[in-house]
Amino acid sequence: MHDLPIPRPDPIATPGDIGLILFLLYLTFFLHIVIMNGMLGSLFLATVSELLSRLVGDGSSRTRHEHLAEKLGHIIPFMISLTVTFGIAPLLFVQGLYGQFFYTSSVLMAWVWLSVILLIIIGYYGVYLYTRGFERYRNRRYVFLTVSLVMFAVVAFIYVNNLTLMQTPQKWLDIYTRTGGSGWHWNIDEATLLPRYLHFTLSAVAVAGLFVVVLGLRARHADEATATFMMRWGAWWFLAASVLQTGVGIWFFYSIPEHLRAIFWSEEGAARTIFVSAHVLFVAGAAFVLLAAFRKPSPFFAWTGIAATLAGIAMKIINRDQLRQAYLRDADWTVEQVRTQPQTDVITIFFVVLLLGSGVLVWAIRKYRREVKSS
Amino acid sequence: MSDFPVWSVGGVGHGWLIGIIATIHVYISHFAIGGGLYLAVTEWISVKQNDEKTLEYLRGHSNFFMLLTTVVGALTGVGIWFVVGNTNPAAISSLIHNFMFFWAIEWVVFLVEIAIAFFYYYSWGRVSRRFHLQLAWLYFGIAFLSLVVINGILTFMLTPGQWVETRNIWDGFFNPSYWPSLCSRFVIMMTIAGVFAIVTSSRIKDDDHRHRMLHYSAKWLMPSFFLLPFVMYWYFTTLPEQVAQLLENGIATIGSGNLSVLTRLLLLISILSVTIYVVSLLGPYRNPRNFTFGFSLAILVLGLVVTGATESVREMVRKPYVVYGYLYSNGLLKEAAKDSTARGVIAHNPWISEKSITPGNRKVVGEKIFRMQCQACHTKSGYRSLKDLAHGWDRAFIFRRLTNLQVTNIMPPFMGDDDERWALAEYLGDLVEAPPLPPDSASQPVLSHTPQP
Repeated sequence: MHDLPIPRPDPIATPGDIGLILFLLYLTFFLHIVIMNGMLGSLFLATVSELLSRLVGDGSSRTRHEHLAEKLGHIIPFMISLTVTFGIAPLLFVQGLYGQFFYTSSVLMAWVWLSVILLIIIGYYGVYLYTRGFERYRNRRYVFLTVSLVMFAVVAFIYVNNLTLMQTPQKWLDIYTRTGGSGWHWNIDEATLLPRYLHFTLSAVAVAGLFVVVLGLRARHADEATATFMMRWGAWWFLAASVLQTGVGIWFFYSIPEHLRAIFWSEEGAARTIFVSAHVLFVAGAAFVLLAAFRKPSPFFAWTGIAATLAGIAMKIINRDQLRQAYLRDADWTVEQVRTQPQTDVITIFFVVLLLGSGVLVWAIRKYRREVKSS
Repeated sequence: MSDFPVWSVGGVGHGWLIGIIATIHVYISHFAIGGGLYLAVTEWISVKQNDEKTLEYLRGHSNFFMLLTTVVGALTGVGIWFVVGNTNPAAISSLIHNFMFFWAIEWVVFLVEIAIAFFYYYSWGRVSRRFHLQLAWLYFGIAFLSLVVINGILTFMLTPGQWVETRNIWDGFFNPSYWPSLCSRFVIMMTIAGVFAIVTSSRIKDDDHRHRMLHYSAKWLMPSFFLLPFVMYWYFTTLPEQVAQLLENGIATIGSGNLSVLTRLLLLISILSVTIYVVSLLGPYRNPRNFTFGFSLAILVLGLVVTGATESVREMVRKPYVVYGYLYSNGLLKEAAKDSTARGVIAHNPWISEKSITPGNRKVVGEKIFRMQCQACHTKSGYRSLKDLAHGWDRAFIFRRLTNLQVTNIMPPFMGDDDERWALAEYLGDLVEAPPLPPDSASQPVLSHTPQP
C-alpha cells in the first residue's frame, strides 16, 4: 500500500450505481464542454471580429465583422449561463465518485479555485456591457469584450490546474508542506498542463467556428453574402484550430507518462477503440464542414460534419475519464472501490423531473417561436 | 476522522469567508423566488387593469431582476459550494453523498428556472400578454420548487432528526424544521421582493406612478411583519433542545447586560427588521412623495445586514456541529471522537508527517493539530482569534481547557491523546506568550509517544 495522503472515502455510500453516475457524468460533461467551447470560442471570435472591424478591411468587410461581433455578443450571455448550469451537474457527479481527490486538490489551490466565481461574474457582466453599450461605447466597447475573454481564458486555465492536480496525489503532501495550506498553489510544474489547456482552448475555437458556420447556414435566405462570409469565416477558424490541434494533440499525448498513455494502444479495454474512432470522426467531420463551406454550400454536408465532430468530442470525453482512472490506478485506487447504496426512489424522481423539465422547456420554446413568428 | 488538508485563510477565518458569499447569495436567491411572485402578481393586476405604465415598469424591473439573479445569484450559489468545499470538504462530501440525486433534481429545476427567466424577459412585447403571464407564473412555480428541494438539504444540517439513527434519506429530507423553514423563507422572500421593488420603483420618472408603485411595493413587506413571529416560533419549537436552550439563554440575557455574540446578533436582527418595517411604513407606504432612491438603498443595505446576521445565527446555533449530532464543525465525525483519546490522531492523519511527538517537533505538531481541529472556527490573531480568547492563560490551564471543550456545548471535544493535547497546549501557549512550564512541573507531559496501530 502507498503512503499517499488520499483521504478515506466518505462514510456515507454513494447513492447510485457507478455505471449510472459515470453515464450521467459523461452526458452532462459533454453538454457542458460543447457549450463551454462554443462560448469561449465565440468570445474569442467576437473579440477578433470586433478588433478587425476597427483595424482593417474595406467598408463591407468592416460591417460584416461588426455585425458578426454584435450577433455573437447577443448570444454569448445565454451560452455563459448554460455553461455554468451544465457545469454544475458534472461537478456534482464527479464528487460522488472522485470526491476525496477533487476536494483535496481544490483545497490545495483554494484561493485560486474560489476566484473562478469572481472572474466569471466579471466576464459575464463584461459581455452584457458590450452588447448593451454597443452604440454608446462604440470606441471603447472592445475593452469589455477583451476583459471578458481574458477572464474566461483564466477560468479555463484554473479548471485545468485543478483537474490535473486531482489526479496526481503523489504531489499533494509536498505542496501542502511547502505552501502551509495557503491555497495559492498553481499546478504549473505539471507537464500535461499547458498542452491540455491549449487542447481545450483550441477545441473551443474550432467549435465556435462550427457555430459561426451554423449561423451562416441560418442566414442564407435573408442575406446570401453575409451567410457565405459567416460560413467561410467560421470554417477557416475551424480549420486553423484543427490544424494547430494536431500539433498540440501530439504534444499533449507525449506529455502524458508513457505507462498511462499506453491505455490508448493497449488491446485491453475499450480506450483504444474509442480513441481511434474519435480521430476518424474528427477527420471525417472536418472534411464535411470544409466541403460545405468552400465547395458545395449544402446544409446536409455541414450538419453531417458537425454531428461527426460532436460524436468525436463525446468519445474524447470517455477517453478523458479513462485516462483519469489510469492516473488514479497509480495511486492504488480504482473507481470500483466506491461503495454504493442506490437511492432508487430518489433516482426515479430525478428522471421524472428531468423528463418534466425537458417537456416544460420544449413547450416554452415551441410556443415562444410560434408567438414571435405570428407577431 | 477528516483526512483532508486544511486551508489557512489568515485572519479572515473560514466563517467570514463563507458568510460573505452566503449572505449575498441568500439575499439574491430569495429575491429570485419572491421577486418571481412579485412579477407574476403585479403583471396579472396590470394586465387586468390595462395599466401600461406599470407594465413598462415591470419590463425594466425584470431586466434588473434577470441581470442580478442569473449572474450574481446563480454564481454565488456555486460559490457557496466552492467555498464550503474548500473550508470543510468533509461537510460538503456528507451532503453530496447523502443528497446527490436531490442536488441533481435541484439542478434540473434550476436549469428550467434560468431558461424561463430568460424567456420571460426577452419576450416582453414580442408575445401575447396571456403567454407572457403564463411564463411569469411558470417561472415563479419553478423557482419555488427549487426552494422546496434545497430547503430539505439546508434544514437537514441543523435538524437531521431521525436520520442520525435510521440513515433513511427521507427522514433527513423531511426533517423536523423542514416545513416551518419553508414557510418562513417564503414569507421572507416576499419581503425581499418588496425591498428590491421599492429600489426600482424609486427610479420611476413619472411622479404619480412612482408614488403609486412605492406604495404598492411597500405592501409586500406586510405579510412577514404579521406572520414572521408565528412562523419563527413554530421553527423554534422544532430545534434540538440544546439549540433551543442556547437561543433562550440569548434572549434571557438581553436584559442582563452580559451580551453574548448570539444575543447581540438577535438584537441586531430585531432592531434592524423593525427599522425596515417602520421606515417602509412611514416612507414608501405612507409618504411616497418624500421617499428617495437614497432611502431605498438604505433599506436594501439594512436587509442585507439582517440576512447576514440571520445566516450567522443559523450557523452559530448549529455549533458544535455542521450536521447536527453527526459531523462536527471542524469536519471531524462525532463517531471518531469516542476512541481518539486512546488512539491519538496524528498517526492516522495523512497530512501530518510527524508520526510521533518529540521535544523537537512538539510545537510543529501542535500547529498542525491547531489547523486540523481549531482553524475551522478560529484564527491565530484575526476573527475569533485564539490569541485574544486564550489571552492570560497559562499552559497548564490551556491543557485543562482542551480537556473540557465540549462542556461549552458550542465546541467539539478535543480529539487526541494527552501528548497531542500537550502539543496543542504548548503551541497555543506560545501564541499567547504564556511562560514556559517549569521543568519540574507535575503536569509536564510525557515527551515520547508511540503511535498505536
